[in-house]
Amino acid sequence: MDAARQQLTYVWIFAAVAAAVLLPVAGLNFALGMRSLGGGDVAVRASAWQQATHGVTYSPPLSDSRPFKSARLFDRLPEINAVVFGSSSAMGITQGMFPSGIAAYNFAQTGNRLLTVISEAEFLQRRQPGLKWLVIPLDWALGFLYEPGTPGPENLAPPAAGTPAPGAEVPLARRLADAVSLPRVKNLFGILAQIARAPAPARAFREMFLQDESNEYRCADGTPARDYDTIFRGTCTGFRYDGSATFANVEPVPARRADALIASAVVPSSKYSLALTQSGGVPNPVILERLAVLAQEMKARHGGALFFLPPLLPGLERALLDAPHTRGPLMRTKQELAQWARAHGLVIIDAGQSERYGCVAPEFVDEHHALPACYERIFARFWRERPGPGLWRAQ
Amino acid sequence: MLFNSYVFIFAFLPLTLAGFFLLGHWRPRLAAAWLAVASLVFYGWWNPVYVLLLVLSTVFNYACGISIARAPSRPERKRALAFAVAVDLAVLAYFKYANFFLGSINHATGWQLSLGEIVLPLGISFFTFTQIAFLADTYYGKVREYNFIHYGLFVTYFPHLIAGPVLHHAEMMPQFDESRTYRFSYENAAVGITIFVIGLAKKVLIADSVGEYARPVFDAAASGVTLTALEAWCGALAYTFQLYFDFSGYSDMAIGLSRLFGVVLPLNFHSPYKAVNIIDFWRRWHMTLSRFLRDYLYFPLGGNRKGPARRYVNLMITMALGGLWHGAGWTFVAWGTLHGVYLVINHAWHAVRARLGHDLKRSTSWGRACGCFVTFLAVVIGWVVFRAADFGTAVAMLKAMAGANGFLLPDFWLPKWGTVGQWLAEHGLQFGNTRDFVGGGVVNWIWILLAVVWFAPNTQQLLADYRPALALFAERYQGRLAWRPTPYFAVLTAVIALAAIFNLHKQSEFLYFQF
Repeated sequence: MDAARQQLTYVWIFAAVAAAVLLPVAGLNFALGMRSLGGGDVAVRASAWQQATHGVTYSPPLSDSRPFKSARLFDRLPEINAVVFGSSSAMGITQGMFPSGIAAYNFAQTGNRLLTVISEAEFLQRRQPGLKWLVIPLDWALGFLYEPGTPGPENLAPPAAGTPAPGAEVPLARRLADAVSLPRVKNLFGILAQIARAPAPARAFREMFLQDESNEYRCADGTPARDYDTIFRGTCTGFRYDGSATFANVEPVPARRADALIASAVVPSSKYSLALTQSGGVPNPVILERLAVLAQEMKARHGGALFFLPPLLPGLERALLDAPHTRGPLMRTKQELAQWARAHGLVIIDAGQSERYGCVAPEFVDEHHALPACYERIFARFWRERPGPGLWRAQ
Repeated sequence: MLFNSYVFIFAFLPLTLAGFFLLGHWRPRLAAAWLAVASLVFYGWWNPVYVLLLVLSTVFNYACGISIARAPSRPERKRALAFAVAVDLAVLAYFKYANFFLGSINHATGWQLSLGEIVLPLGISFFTFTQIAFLADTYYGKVREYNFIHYGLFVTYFPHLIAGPVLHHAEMMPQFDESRTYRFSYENAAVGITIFVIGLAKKVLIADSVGEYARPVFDAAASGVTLTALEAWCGALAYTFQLYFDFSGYSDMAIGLSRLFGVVLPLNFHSPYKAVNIIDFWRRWHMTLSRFLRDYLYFPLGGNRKGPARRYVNLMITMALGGLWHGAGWTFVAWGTLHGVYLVINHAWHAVRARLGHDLKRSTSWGRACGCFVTFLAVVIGWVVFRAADFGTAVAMLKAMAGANGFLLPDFWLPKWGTVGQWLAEHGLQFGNTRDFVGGGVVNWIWILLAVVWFAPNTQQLLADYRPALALFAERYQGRLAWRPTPYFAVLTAVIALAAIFNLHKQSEFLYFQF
């Protein structure tokens, strides 16, 4: 073969092999990804299934839990008198952590800012006279406490059937890029391997690629589960009936890894350091003012507002207090919150130094996401001691 | 736009190539203009505002070049050159160094001078240096071509625009003038794709992965965590390889992309960790920058023509400024100065050996291996200073590497090492409960990558039969990995490309973008 022909053949074989893999992968993942973006009435159907079975589920995408959680909240409102608000860092709080008389639903949603939480709480307070308890994280580590602005109006309507897909506005280019990303490709090969091993591969293929939801299955503790997403299938990923997350799709932090995570979290360029240094550690006064009003209203209903500083990976807050660039702002935050709590007769659980409650690194999935086991220790200690107004932490 | 992004690989590149060859078939000058415009789109993708800066800089320098060339007398030419270079350096100084110098003044005096936040335009050092070379050569009468489209394309040409190589007009503009450049060639396509894929894999599969181990260690040192020797060495070596594969990957991608357009770029990287001394290292690392610094800074300072003492001073000045070129920070100046010291020692050593009558051209394999090892260690120490956020971090890392904090090894290695481990433990080596800075396979990465950088042929050697870059080295690789356009290599390249594409989701910038 002459040189020119060899080179021509080379280019075409390269293109053919690349296309032969890339196109089916992109096509199949694009189809799966379309359903991973949620849409239609998937949140309503997932919610209805959980209401009927008390099982574990969620509606895709996992990064936007609002439609599903709203649907669940409105289903649960008649039987609860407490709502846990916040972002994913509060998703580890379960009904079992509250004393009898408090029936809670964990309404925490991914990336939910404190300003939005206040709007949600105000909306529910107006609409739900039976609501007596608000559990609200004052998340300084993510900067939510310092965020400028005022809480906007909120209309917490549950999603209706036929709601447009939340991901419909995602550009095609991004969806295609997502389809050929390694996590999606791994997921696809995992699915194809499962289908190949299944006793009835054709049925398994249909369930995965053509059916909107998985068949029902059981988690390790016997709870029923059903997946409406096309990733994490069969892993019991999602939310329990009480709204808390199972965190089944993430790995806990190995004890050996903790020091490395803390070291990275303390450098001046980390998001934790920046949250403190850019704000100077001064909470947004509007946030504190509106929270105080909410708490007074709850007291008037013979309930209350329970505030907490979310637990951080053991040793992280201590390291931030030792670092020269974050020490001042963090101490200022604590002082201002302590003063505010005393002035309004409120209790704030300071769980930042989670090691004081006996939490350990494997009870976290990263620097600021505590698993239920850690929250269990914190709330158990709190209910046992029932401290007076102020910033309280275990001694 | 990043070379390692979906939009570049699947949209920008195919469209630009198609337009270039379609227009080139019809009218080459239009194809050159198309490529220049596409390059501006590529640049503007990051921040459209700075396209204006790039265009103004190109037009200004072209106009200055013409006026230098047409100036009737030498003093007038000199004045025009001085003016143009001063403007170029002033722009560079404003965007890149103003806040650094003000910060240093504020630190020394306690003042509060500020120019606010200045965003560093991508690639400003590269397109400034490229054009200063053009002006200087115009002054010396070395420039033969003044076609504006070719000049504009030479400056803005997207494969080199952001992070080099630092192109020289004499090796680029003649290529833009050749009609065959504008004709599609399967050889160029095959060679270009292969080099681009190798570069992409180096960046996406190796540099980004090994870099994950470097960051926590340097962060830990910056946070005041006391590191053990093993942790510090793993962090330093991980960064050593991250920078190597990041920059080498970028250089390969630039060369491969350019080859797709029928343009051969100068070699920028030639297995620098195989260097047997520091002089050799600088002939292999960022070769086009070394060439620029030599031709337009070291030689004008006098080079080695004014005696050994002045030569060493010139070397120190060149390297310190070379360090400053890499970044507006004292650690970069320290890194450059450190390499200046290395070079002075190296030259002095050669001078002593020459005086003793040694033949410097003869060496033994053991001598070369020792030289390579010592050079590598010196370079790693330099990278610690280069990477550290401040001098405190650099000192903490270097102290830990020197063993000031002990040599504790992870206890889970002890059973893996069997009797050797037992023997070492009995003879003073400490095993204990360590943190996870060195877990997750970093040690495996390090020894594998050491083997690659020391023993494997590089991209240019693999493709040596197909003239992948200008100024090829004499050593050729004749082994089984030598590339040929066979079906086997086509499939292998496609598999590597797919692996890299699937990993593009964790897209990261090239380290050299900041320079």
